[in-house]
Formats: sequence, C-alpha cells, structure tokens
Amino acid sequence: MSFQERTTIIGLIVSLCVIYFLTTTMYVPLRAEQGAELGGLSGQAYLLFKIILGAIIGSIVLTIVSVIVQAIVTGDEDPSTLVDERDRAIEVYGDRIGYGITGAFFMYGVAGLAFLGWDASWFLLVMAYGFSIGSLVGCVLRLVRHFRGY
Amino acid sequence: MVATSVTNSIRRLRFDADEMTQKTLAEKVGVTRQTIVAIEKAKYAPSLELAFLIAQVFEKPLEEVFHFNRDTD
Repeated sequence: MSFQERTTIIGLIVSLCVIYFLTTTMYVPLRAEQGAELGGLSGQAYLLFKIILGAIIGSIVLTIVSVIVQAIVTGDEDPSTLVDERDRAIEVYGDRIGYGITGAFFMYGVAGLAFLGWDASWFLLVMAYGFSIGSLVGCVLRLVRHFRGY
Repeated sequence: MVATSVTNSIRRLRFDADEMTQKTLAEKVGVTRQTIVAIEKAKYAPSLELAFLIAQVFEKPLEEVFHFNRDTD
C-alpha cells in the first residue's frame, strides 16, 4: 500500500469521526431545540473550532503512526512517503468532487436562511457537514481510483 | 466517437532486462510501484516526462515502449 493510499484511508477515518462528533455534539442538541446549551452561535463556533483542531491533530498523529507501523511490519527503516503524478491526479479528482459537494451544502444552507427561516446555527452546522461529507466522499472516490489503478 | 488509448510493452521490456521488478523500475523513475502497475495495465497514461524516463531506463526510443491506439467507431 502506497503512502498516498494510507493517507486517503486516514482522511476517510478522520472525516467519519468529524461527522460523528458533529452529529452527537451539535446536531442532536439543535434538533432537540437545546441550542442554548451550546452557548449560542459563539459557543457552537467554539465547539466546531475544537472539532476541526482535533481533526487536524488526529490526521497528523495517525499519519505518523501509520508510517511507524509500516516500518515495523515491512522491516523498512525508511518507508517511502513518495507522492507521484498519478497520486496527485487522483487527489485533484477527489478534491473536485469534494468541492462540488461542499458547494451544494453551501447553497442548501443559503436557501435555508433565505426561504426556510433557519437561524445562523443551522447554517453553520450545514456548512460543517458540507465540508466533512465532501471530504468523506472525496476520500472514498480517491480510494476507489487508487485500487482500480486510476 | 473517437476513443484513444496508450498501451505499452513495459512488461516484456522488464522481462528482457533481467526480469527487472516493478519496484526497481518504479525506484529508477521516481514513482510508486502502484503507478507502474497501473501503467502496465494501460489504466493510467503517464505524463510525457515519465514516459521518456521509462524509455530511458530500457534504452529504447519512446515509440518502442509506448503505443498510441486511435479507434474510430
């Protein structure tokens, strides 16, 4: 398994964790109309900030751990972290799909604000879901391309 | 409708070159083994630069390594 394939799997795991935390810590209270317990929009943004920070740190830690595990399993003291032109092409493909999905969620959020009487908390949540679901789908499609060859 | 594809003789050339492994070829041209596998199966068309690098490894002209097929329906 190449470095980029492992990185994609890590991205997928992190995206799933982010969606889980968004759902349990933000969606469920908002759905139960207990948004005030989150501390309003500012409190919700602070929570989101912590989730994003956790995702970044989690990605870095998992990447380091995966390189160490590969070194132990294969006995290779200097495991390759090479990213080549095919990896980059696959990454661009996944990013493009991910951006499309994020854009669709943004339009949904704007429509919610404009026509459905949403407050800003819901818009923020929809945007957070947009980024994480876009990332998740991008990772899945990248993984499919990696395993199919291109 | 015009369909195009790039095929290659890398597998045969590797065999002729003392059964060079995909990993060795990948290291010589600076890509992953998975990319060599994808190129051999004609699932991925390499960049011109990578194609020239691969041809250089086998000391063959580009057209002996890669073949361009243009099928018109």
